[in-house]
Amino acid sequence: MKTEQAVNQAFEKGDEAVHRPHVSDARLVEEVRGGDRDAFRDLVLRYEKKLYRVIHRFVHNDALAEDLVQETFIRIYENLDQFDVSRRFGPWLFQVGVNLTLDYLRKKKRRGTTSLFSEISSEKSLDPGAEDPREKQDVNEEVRRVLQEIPEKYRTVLVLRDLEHFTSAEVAAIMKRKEATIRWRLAEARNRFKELWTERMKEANESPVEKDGE
Amino acid sequence: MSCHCAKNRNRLALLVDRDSVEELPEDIRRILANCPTCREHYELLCAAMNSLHQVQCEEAARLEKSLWPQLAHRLPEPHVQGLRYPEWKRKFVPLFSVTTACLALLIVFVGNRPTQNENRVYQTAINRGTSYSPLQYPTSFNVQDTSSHIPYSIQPYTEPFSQGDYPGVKSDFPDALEAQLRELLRQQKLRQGIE
Repeated sequence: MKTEQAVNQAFEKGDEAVHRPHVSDARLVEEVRGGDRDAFRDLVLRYEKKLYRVIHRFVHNDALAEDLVQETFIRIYENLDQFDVSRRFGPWLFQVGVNLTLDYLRKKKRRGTTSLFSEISSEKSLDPGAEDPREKQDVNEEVRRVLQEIPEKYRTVLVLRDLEHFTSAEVAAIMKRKEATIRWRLAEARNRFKELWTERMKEANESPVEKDGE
Repeated sequence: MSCHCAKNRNRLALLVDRDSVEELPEDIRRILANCPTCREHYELLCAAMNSLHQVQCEEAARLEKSLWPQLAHRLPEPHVQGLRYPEWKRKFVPLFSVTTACLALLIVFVGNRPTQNENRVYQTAINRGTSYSPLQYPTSFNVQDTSSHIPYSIQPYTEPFSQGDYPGVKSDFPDALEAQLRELLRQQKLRQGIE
């Protein structure tokens, strides 16, 4: 098994160093089933960046996203025997990851904890040398707020399709829905986002006038 | 918004990714050109999606280092999937199958091969220099054997014979071979007589 340093070096070098790109996911899964941990390491290195980015889109928290990624891979490892090798590994992995993340967010919402937006705002430090990023941050925050207002089933499609650029077929595989359903949800999600975004923009434009009137 | 505009909303939402209006289907382009409600909806949709894409580009989170070192410690012990058959069975079954198939092929192949025994002589039409034709059936019936109605020319023959056995039929055996066979028969008769 490779040392931690070697793995990190390979991780920094990029995909080709460790991931054995010529070896298919199905082959690696078979090797893991045979007890080969190195094959699972290759799967982790192959997918962790993308999975982290997707989960981060939902939780907006680095540490939490890392935890969820790890939890996803542990679930995958434990249930690898149930995986049908004739299917694609990637959509299954993202399906587990997204479901785990959404479950976590639902539980958190039920418990009534504070919004994740405030957590990320405190995490990010402003670089004094760079140009004032507050304006951009405001836009980003507005977009996130609007996304948060969209129902979960539409938001998930919007994030996967428009932010992470999965194809409709991949989103359908991840969400275990028909492609036609995903396309309908995508259209609905975009329309809802547009409505909410337009309202926000109108409010933002009207508020200085109101202040002036006072 | 008319009912047609409501119908177009979803189509427009799915086509909003296109870089320019020219890439849109002809009917949609016509709708956008003629219907101000649809055009406004499409423009606002484009603006909203642009802001979303802007966030997407700026906010893509990056994993600084691999999670594998931490993950490796958390993984449960390797769970080797149990084999459905014991190891010896897994090896034995293909071996047995291949051996059986080879044997079957060998039997079929060897069984059909003509033997090299020169002592076996078949009295066939070709050996006798004549060939059988169904058209000649009654006329070519040249054997005076009343016990069988099968023409001689197609009768199988496995034993040597003497001219006296079948009058009118000339033997095709070489003289030396015929003499040898006669001698063998004579010795056999003598032996039987002694016993």
